[in-house]
Amino acid sequence: MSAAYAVEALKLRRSRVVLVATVALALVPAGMARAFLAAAEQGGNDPASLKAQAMLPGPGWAGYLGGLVQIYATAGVVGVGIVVGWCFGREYADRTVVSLYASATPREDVARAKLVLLTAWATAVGVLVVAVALVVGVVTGLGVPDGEAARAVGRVALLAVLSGLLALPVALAASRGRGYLPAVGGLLVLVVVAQVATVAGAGGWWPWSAPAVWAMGPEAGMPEVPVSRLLLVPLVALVGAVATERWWRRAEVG
Amino acid sequence: MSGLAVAGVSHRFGDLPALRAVDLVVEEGEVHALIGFNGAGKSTLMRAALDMLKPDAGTVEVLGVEVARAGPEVWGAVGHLIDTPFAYPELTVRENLWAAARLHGVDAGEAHGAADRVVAALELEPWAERRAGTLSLGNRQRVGLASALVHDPRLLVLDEPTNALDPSGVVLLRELLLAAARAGTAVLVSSHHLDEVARIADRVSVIHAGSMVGELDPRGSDLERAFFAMVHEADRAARR
Repeated sequence: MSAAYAVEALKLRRSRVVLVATVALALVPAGMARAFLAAAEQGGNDPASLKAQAMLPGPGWAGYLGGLVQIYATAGVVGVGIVVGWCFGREYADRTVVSLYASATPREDVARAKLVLLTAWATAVGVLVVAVALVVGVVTGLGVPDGEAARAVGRVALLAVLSGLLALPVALAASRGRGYLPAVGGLLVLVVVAQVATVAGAGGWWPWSAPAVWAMGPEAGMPEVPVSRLLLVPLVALVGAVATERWWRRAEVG
Repeated sequence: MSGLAVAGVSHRFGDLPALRAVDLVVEEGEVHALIGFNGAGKSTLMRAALDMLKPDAGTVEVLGVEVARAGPEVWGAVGHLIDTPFAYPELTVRENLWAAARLHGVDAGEAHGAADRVVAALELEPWAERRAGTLSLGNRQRVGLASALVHDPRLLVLDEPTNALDPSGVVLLRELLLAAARAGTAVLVSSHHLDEVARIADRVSVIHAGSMVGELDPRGSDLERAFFAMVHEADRAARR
């Protein structure tokens, strides 16, 4: 393993931010989706039950996984985005970036190693989310998933992986803004614009909302989104990654 | 070939001139001290020397290679401590030094040995397995110095290296810098501790208001008086 990958992998392994985000992303959305399903299936007239009934596309696995899609579409981008923002922004906030100049390892190699490792981590978290969701569903009495549920699981898995990719451009905000706060600001902009695009009917075209609209599907009242349009996601991730690497190669110490 | 050669380097931050046609040469095997008040341009000059900022004018050569053309083989022979020590809080002291060694180009098979050597050299054994985030400022500075030395650089650039060090740390640093210079390393060190400079430096350059205003004899009888006289004369000359 090259020096940049070896060092960045060690930093990620030792990071409490990464550990907390991994546990939170794996447990909280699945737990919330199951709680919403329980509230919906109670059929009560209290605000929580009514909200859950309106939100979920149906009972059982379909409702549970539909809820998980809606929750993870935002939680995934926010959770992964926080880690991406921390990973890049901390180098500026802690001033450790100065030590990365005048080094045998070019700074763009360090940035690339961060991006590749974060992509691998976000993908692994996406797979973990699905595994945990299945365990939560089975353990809490939803039974063995049927064929339709299996297809929904596939949608959740792809959404989870794509949500990780959609958070990568936060690295550019953290780098150009030289800290955590610009990363948080960039993340908020991404999430808010995705919501606005969905409400305005352009959610199927905006890269940061298209995967959620596709995953929720017409059964949740969303427009049909062809799978091919999801290629927008790796495209914006790649553009963000290239721009970030370029910044790291050229930027002077601030 | 010199370790570092700066020629005619000028730089402005907006309206503020930070460096004015500065020349500086640091030869191999010499400790060259750069002294001046806060804001005189010491750190800016060091940043320009290490390609951390592109000066508006002038040239910088590191180990005989112009910085714009310097690649990993050149930078792998450079060690520095500018601004903040290389100390990631989530890593232990030994892990930080292993990381510094790897990033500076030390092979994977040798990086642990290199880290162990500088842990011993900087007397960091009691803290070697502790996370850097738990260290005192002085020990973090020692980790930063160890990171700059871990790959046996041929050019060493240290900005105020005695910051936060206790007296034993200052003595240790002095011995390490002198040993590095004896081994042929070119050492550039900035300081405003003139007595410390007098103990280690072969040459002392004075920078004031972004200009190199002269050299002092480190073996002179009253370095402080000579420094102030030189700076005041530069101020008088600037007003004329």
